[in-house]
Amino acid sequence: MPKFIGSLLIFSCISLIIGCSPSKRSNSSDADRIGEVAVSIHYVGDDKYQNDLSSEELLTWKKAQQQAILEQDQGQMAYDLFSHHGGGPLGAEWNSDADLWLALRYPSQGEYSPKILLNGEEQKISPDYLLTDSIAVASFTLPATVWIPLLKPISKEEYTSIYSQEAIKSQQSSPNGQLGIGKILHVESIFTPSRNGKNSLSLAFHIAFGE
Amino acid sequence: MQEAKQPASLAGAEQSEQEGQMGRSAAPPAFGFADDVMQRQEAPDTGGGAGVAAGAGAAAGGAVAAGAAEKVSSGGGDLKGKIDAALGAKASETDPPNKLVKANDNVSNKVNDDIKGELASVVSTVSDLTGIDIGTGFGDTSRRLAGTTSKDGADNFSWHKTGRAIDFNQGLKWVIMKNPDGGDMFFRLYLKANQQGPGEGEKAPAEGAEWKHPSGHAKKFNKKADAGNVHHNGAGSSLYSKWFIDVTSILTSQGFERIPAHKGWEKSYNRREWWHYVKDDGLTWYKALRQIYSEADLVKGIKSFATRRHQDAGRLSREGFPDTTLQAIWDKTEITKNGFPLYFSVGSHRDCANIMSDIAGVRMGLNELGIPLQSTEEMIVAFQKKEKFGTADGYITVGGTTHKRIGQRLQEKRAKK
Repeated sequence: MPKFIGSLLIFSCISLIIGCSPSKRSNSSDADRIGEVAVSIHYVGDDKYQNDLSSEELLTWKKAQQQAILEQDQGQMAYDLFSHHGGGPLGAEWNSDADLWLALRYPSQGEYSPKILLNGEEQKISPDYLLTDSIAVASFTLPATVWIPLLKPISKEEYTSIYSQEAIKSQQSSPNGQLGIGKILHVESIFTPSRNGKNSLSLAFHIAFGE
Repeated sequence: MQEAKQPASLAGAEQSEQEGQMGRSAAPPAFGFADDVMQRQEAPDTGGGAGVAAGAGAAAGGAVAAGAAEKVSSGGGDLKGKIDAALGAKASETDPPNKLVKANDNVSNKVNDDIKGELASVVSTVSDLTGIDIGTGFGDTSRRLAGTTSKDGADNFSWHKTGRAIDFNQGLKWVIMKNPDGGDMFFRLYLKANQQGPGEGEKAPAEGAEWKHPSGHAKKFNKKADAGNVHHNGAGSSLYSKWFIDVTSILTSQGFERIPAHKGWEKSYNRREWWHYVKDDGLTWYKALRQIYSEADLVKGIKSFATRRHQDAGRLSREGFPDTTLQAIWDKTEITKNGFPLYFSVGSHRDCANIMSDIAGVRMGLNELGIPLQSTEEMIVAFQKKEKFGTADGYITVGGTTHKRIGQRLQEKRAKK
């Protein structure tokens, strides 16, 4: 069930913990000032095992996704891992070792230099851009060799980052419940200049591994 | 070869751990020489090639069994070469008969098309009885052949690679009941039935009588009898008042089997495996893979993660891989110690691949060194005792001490002639 927690503030540091599908958008009244902002994360090629796609096929896929995200064409957008609808414990993704592909959609006016932080560590990865007069889509490929080592255990304080209140309530009463199973990766996307404070979206990616 | 359902101990060697994680390890190969030759030489294709294979195996086995000693003295290498050539000639190049296809129109997950119909039947039945779609939100179905994993509970030799294993969505409101069998822990899965009383036009039960769900898969839990078996209750307070559908029984009726939880499941979520079902239809892992991969693609994929001649080749052998395929995975190169070549380990240990040409070479070599012909294990033990090894364990690790010593003794003996 789509859910939205938090809000977007323009002139202050913000942290959104969102679990809606298929992409995360600002819905605050301030959104009009910056336009529509969205962030989504996908398995490269929409394939959790990153099967044998050629570099040409991958490039075609990325371009098509950028276009779909630009147009917010839900029918063409790949499965968003932030939606937390995986087949693992309580919606976690299950067993991927694919590279990830993160897309930010934001107004293109002004000085924007998107940055990505994974569990607090800034990633020196250059984005690819798709620009129009008013909207930009910046996309980052996050290699498995980068994101998998950064995964960390899930603390109780982080439950609300990935679980609904209903799930937390129902699972807490079960001695063999699934709360806290798997690993978490906080993905912070900084998408505007920081002269007036850091404007960012922070979402959590949840994954577990097993046979 | 029917596979054992007994999980290996996760506390053991690394290889044992991988098998235990998969929970479907094949029985160790028979080790009597003549029987071994015959059993091991199944056709490497998925149909058709058995005649050639049986012929090659029988001929080679007969020759070795009948006259191993004199063959060695007159050039055992020639015999080995002939055996290898005969076996190599039978490798099938036929296209695989099956392929990976989408499990259904609502998902991108792929399965072997051989099981798609049965999976659809399960999904349909469960949907009819519970209103819940277990045909979407899979954890895993097929995994790429060349994939490797070091994660707890996961296995490089996974049945997911055959497209015949399904990890069902763990996030559904499952009622998970412990269902031990012998020394193994299995789990039985239930979902709440969508029918909880008489249907339209159905007679209500007589006053005082309880309505009974019409499905043979339905069950009502009894707190007194069942409370001790509840592993996880996804149904909350309705557990003892509502009807539930035994999803496991629906799955098994279509040939999908559970695997036992791995040792340590009580403390480790990943080792519980309640979400994992396999429809092997009695196939070995090799034959299941050959349904969807050509021999060449199979060799290429396996080569990416199976590198250890002692452990991985032994494991593959137990999973039904023919000798020629094992040799191809290791580029048809032997390990030679003191002039004595072996592809893989030989003997009683489960990690020995025991391919026919290695067994022939060992038997001929040991016989040349004066060890009487008997079972191969007994011959190895006799040699190890003769050499005063601390442990006469009855197997030769390829490249190891016994391998080297046999080569050394053969060189010494031949130098005296």
